[in-house]
Amino acid sequence: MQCTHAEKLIPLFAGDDLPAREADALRRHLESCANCRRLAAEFEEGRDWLRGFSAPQFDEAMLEGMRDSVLRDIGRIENREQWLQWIVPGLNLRFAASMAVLLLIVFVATYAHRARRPRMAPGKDNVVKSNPGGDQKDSTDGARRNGEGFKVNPSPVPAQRPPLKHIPGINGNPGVKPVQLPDLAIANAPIVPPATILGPVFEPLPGADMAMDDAIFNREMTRIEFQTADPNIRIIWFAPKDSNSSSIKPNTNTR
Amino acid sequence: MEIALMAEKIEGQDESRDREGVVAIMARLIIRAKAGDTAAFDQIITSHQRRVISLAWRLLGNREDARDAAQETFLRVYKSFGRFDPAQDFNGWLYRIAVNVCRDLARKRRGGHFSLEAEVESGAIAEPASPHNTESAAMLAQEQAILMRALATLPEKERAAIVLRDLEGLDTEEVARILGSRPTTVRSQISAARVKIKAFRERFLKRGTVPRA
Repeated sequence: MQCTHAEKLIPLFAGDDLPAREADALRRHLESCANCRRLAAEFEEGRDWLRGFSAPQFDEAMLEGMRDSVLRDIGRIENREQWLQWIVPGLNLRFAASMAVLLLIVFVATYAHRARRPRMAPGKDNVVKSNPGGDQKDSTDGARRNGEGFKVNPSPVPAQRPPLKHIPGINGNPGVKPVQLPDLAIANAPIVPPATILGPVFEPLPGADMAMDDAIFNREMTRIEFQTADPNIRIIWFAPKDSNSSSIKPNTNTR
Repeated sequence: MEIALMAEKIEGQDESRDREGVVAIMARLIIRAKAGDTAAFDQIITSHQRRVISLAWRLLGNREDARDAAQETFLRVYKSFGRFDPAQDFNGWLYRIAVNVCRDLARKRRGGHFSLEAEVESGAIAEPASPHNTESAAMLAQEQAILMRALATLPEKERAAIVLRDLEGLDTEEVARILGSRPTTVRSQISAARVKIKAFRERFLKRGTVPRA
């Protein structure tokens, strides 16, 4: 064994911490090496010096005070647990904590689900259904706002259509802007099917086109309008004031 | 009676008595304490408090801290009794908790150097050998002070390893279990600590004064 290797083992050898095989090899080396033997002796001396390091004597009063403090703390812990048990008999703290976590997860999941649900077109039924047909005067005086900030008109007079905001893709056609009819209450109206012809269509008699037209337009006509339940459909009826002209069928064209 | 006998045995004043008897008494006490018997736990404290407080003092170098550490150790023992397996070595488990508590306390009071002067002044370092031989008492106190300072120079892990191995007399495997290390690691820590302590002591012997840590 080399001295350099022995010097590394000596601190452990001095404290009997070397495995038996290495200790035997070192012992053989120490027999032949005076320097290493001296070093080993110094380490053994140091070990004995260290082992003489006795802790001070702690007096009984101090130990008793420490024990009393511990027991007092334990009593406090037990009292707290008993108090909890009194509030909820059979309370298992681990079970309670698990339930709290579970409830929290359910709450978060519900909230997330509700937040992801698509919203309906805001207040679209409110305006139209409140008064189908009627004058188109603004009725901001009586207007109140529903929960989502859109005007709801409680009066029999329909609210005027609010200025058109950008509503992408009305009627499914993003390129077509909705046409604002000047005198129809269609504010926020639902998408409706194309207008239908409700009455017989006026068809001029063959061979009498121009003369007939002249006759019709020269006469004084009475305009009769009916607003249907659908604000997009209005029945306009032109009737001659003259009672003899009953042969002319009313124009029941829509819009 | 049971507690007095056991304390006597555990404190090492009468080690020739039946050690298995002590172990059996201890096992009974542990089972009772685990079931919530505070009186049994009181007996456990009584039988182990000196060891725990001495270990804490050697690791922390301060009476007040040692007392706080011992108190916290027993509280932690009480709180974690539910996880203790009676087949396990109780002393090892207790030491492990005590070492961890001391480590936590030392970190909390970082700068946590040994308040050596206070200890020497209070006469806590060493008891006088005899009231008539004050010179030898003073010498002993000084030597203890050097030892304490030598320990203070060691890193935390090396100090714990050397205290448990050389001062508490535990074997390397036990020390490794307590410190949560491998025996080879503990051996190298002990070796390094012994080299440092030897060097410290040599410096002291040459100068004749306590070297600065």
